[in-house]
Amino acid sequence: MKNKKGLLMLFYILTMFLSLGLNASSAHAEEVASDSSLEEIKEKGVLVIGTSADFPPYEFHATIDGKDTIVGMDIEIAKKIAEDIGVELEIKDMQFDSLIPALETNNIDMILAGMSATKERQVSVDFSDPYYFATQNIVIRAEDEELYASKKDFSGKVIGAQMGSLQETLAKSEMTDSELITLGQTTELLLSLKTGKLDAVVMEGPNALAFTGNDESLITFEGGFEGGETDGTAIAMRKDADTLVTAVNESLAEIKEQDLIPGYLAETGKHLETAPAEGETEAEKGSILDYWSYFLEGTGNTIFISVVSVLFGSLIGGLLALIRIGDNKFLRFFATAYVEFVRGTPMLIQVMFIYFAVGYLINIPALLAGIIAVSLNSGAYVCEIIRSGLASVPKGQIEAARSLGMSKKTAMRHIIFPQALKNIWPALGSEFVTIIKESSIVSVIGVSELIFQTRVVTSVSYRGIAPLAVSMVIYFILTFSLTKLLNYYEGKMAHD
Amino acid sequence: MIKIQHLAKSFKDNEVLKDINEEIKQGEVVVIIGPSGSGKSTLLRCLNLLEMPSKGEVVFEGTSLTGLKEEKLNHLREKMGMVFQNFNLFPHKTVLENMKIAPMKVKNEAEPVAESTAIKLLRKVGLEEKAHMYPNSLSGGQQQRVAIARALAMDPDVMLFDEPTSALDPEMVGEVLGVIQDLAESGMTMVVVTHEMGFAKKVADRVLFMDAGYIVEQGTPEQIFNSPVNERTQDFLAKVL
Repeated sequence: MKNKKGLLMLFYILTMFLSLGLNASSAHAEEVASDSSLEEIKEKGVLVIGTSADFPPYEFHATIDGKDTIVGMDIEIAKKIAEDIGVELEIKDMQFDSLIPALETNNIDMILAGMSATKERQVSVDFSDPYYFATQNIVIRAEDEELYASKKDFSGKVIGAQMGSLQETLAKSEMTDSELITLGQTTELLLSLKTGKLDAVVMEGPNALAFTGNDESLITFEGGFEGGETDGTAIAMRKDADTLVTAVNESLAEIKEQDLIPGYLAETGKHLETAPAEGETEAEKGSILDYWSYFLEGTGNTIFISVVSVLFGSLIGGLLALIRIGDNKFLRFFATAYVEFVRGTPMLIQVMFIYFAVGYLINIPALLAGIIAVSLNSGAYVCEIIRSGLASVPKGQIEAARSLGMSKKTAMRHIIFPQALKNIWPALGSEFVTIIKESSIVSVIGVSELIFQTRVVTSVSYRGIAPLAVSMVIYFILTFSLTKLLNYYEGKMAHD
Repeated sequence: MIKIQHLAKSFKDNEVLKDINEEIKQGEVVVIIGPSGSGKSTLLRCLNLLEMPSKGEVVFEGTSLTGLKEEKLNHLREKMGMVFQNFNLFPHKTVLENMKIAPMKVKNEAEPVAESTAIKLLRKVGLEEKAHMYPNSLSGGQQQRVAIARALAMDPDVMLFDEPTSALDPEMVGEVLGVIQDLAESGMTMVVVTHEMGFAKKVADRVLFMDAGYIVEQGTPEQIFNSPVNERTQDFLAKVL
């Protein structure tokens, strides 16, 4: 509690020199500040920090003991600062852009959000000393430790980087002798590394430390990239909050002195969805079924999406089929064009189009966008199922009905459609089965259906095959029991 | 009752009927014979506009059918019962339901009325006990008798038969022809397309011989079968008799 005492001393001194205005940015522990910012925080007993928790490993959401919690390196630093000041810590999560306005309007006391201390920002806020300079690292398998020591050692090797990232650019320009493979997600990169498909992954330092700190099979070192320089990351506070800045810098100095950051990152890494659970080594990992809640949520969403999509798809398909067998030439052309277009384009693109293109006009949640896209897609197929079902009824049936004086409508309703249904029903059933499987495509827009959740489990459990097997079994159970159920009703319908 | 004027029918480039002129009178039984592809069935199907004629006119009970509005046409079709080669019973309905559906849905008959008519007609064709069975469990002959009864349930003014025995096993032909013959004797106006020459001889008031889209020759059964004038009629009869 040495620090606490020191700070209290400082506090007393500060209160005696209220009128002095020293430059906050050059504040050091021994300097004397003049404002009441630190005192106010002590008075209310709580330090309120603002952050934008979507930036792992700096700050992000994690589920701890079933509760949604914000964790990260910045949070660990904030804990340390609050402890040093001797107050509680409160975290407010908001959009990154809202942080500085929130600071200026006294909603928060400081910002810890992996924020770079740029000149532009310094106009409106004061920054602490930078507490972290992000490095660009290379991650390799621990067993290869002796093989590689710098970016120059990867000539002819296969390296990976995240698509569209700074690391991709660096790998391209500074590791020209290596074969570069880019993937969408860090977790996929690490899995590829562990399974030997990659020899190294270029990653941002904090990320690399967070992952490797929890996985003994991986190690990391600084890549020595020339283009990897970044502005230092610092804590933002209100202008002229000199006493607070001083206190914060003291804590930061201590963190630096004791080299606490790697420990913070390792602690944080435990909560990354991609790291194995705490204390577990490869051998000690629990059963894949421990992740049942992920699979349950995914299965639930898959069923929900499929059922809703098949319902709406059937409505759309029924309507289209009516139009296509109807007399209105214009509508018929439209319906035919729709069916041909939808059947002639990949569902993947349809899903992304609905989400991104339509989402550009109206903001629709991913799940809704997914359901709309799958329904529209299914509608086209259902239309053809109904049409071919109707076509499968022998022509003699409509002739017999018409020759008995029935109108086209009456004949369709009482004679043709009931017979067509017997052909439509099984095909509709297999369309349902198809949708259960195909709806996995909506995972591309981030809907947490079964495939998406399978990927999450792959990351969390660090196992590649078991989650796939579980998910495959679940899909099979779904489709097989559905098929059996449909066969049962089909059997009930057949009476001749 | 039915007047056919300059009737022609083409399927794409294939001219199946060429300038048919004919009149069928009330109570008359007209049998149409002729080789396959001569246009017999097409002519019959043009009578109730199951096939839309390419040219010419069909006048039924004083009303021209060609160019009629859908609704009016449906109404006139009620009065023209049709029996098909393949029976065309509704497989998803029982025999009784097959017979009740049109009277109930088209003529809006109450169910008990439709049912008692149906039972009466089934008794007439000797299939009363099959009322609650599905068509596919009946023999071909039985199905065709039900089809005839079904057409009769609409109380038509004329019955059109399109090769009613062609799809039947030989041992079942008799029972169906028997029903048709009974019907003929009851004074029903009928047009029958058939290959059963013996039957034609027995029931026809008038026989039409068709070939290559024309009515080549017509007359009483005696004239046609005993002393055909046209060479093609003679050829045809020589082959089938």
